[in-house]
Amino acid sequence: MTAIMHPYTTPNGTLPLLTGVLEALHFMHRDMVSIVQDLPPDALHWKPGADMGTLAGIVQHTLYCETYALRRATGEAVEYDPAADKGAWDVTTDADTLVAAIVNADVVAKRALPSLTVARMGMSYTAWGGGETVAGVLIQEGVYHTAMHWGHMQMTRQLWGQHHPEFVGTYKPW
Amino acid sequence: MDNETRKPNLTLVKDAPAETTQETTEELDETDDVPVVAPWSTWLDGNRQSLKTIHSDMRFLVKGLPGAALNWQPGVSTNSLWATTLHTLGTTLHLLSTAADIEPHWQDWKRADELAAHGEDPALLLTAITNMDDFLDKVFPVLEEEDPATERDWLGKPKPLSYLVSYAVAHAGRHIGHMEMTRQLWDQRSKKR
Repeated sequence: MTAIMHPYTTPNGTLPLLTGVLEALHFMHRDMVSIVQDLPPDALHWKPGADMGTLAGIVQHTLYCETYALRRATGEAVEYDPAADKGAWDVTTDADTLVAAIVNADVVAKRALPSLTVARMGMSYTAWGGGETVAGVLIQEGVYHTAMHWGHMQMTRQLWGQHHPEFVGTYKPW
Repeated sequence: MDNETRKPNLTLVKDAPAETTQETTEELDETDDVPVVAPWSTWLDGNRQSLKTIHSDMRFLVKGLPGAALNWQPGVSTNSLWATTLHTLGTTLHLLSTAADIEPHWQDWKRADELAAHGEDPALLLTAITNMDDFLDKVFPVLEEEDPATERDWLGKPKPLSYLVSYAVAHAGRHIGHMEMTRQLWDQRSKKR
């Protein structure tokens, strides 16, 4: 799959309180694709300041945590790997690879959340290599974490563009 | 934590320990004795707590800053900490009050005014944040009485309550990301001078 299908309708049977979450994730994922898809490698690997992330790194870290949280919330036997997450910050992947990662994360969210029932939302699972977390809280954390880093992506893209006025892209900051 | 000891903004959602645990697939028999949950109420409470966490982060980002820092914009067509704080709070207010069908509704929203705002005294921002925390404590009990699938008019389109609440968190979370970078860039800029 190379694109996020739009518009998106949540499947019948999805818990109403998760419908809003899916719509929010759908919106965020589509904007992430717009942020990275037209950029050259140097833009994806640029840092706006010291101790800050590159677009490629922010995207990979964000999606790693999001897919982990949502898959774990459904009880999948997925393991959090701190080394892999830490390594995500240093990736030097191109735009096509990042778009594919975003699309994959979108598929995971749209597969995982509609499968949840009231009972499953209240289940607890070990997570992040530590103690137990309620499935609903894992989803909550995952969405908030994604939203925060989405803000980093937007601003990083905007600042890179202002450092490179010769670049004419398709993304419009809003 | 003061500014000097503040960590870089790009951190994990959780601090990860050195070792991970091996998991086995956890299959749930729906007839098992599972915890009793009131999902809408529990879900709302999680969102309320997320917004309060965001507000706490906001306090940290603006507290004690001089006016020059609060009104500084990191680039063209970007927003200052002052404007972003007021815009984020204003959006949360109108999303949730619209969801709860109480005043103010979205038609009263002054988005452009929020984004054009500037000021000098961070105490005013801190008061606005505290007022929003108080509002959260009042509006969420109202929302608990509602059905998550109930639709409200938001910007002229019907949207379910679950969307309006989720979007309030996603919107505020996104702007916290903007605020973190703005603050971090301001700190780096001011150290060079």
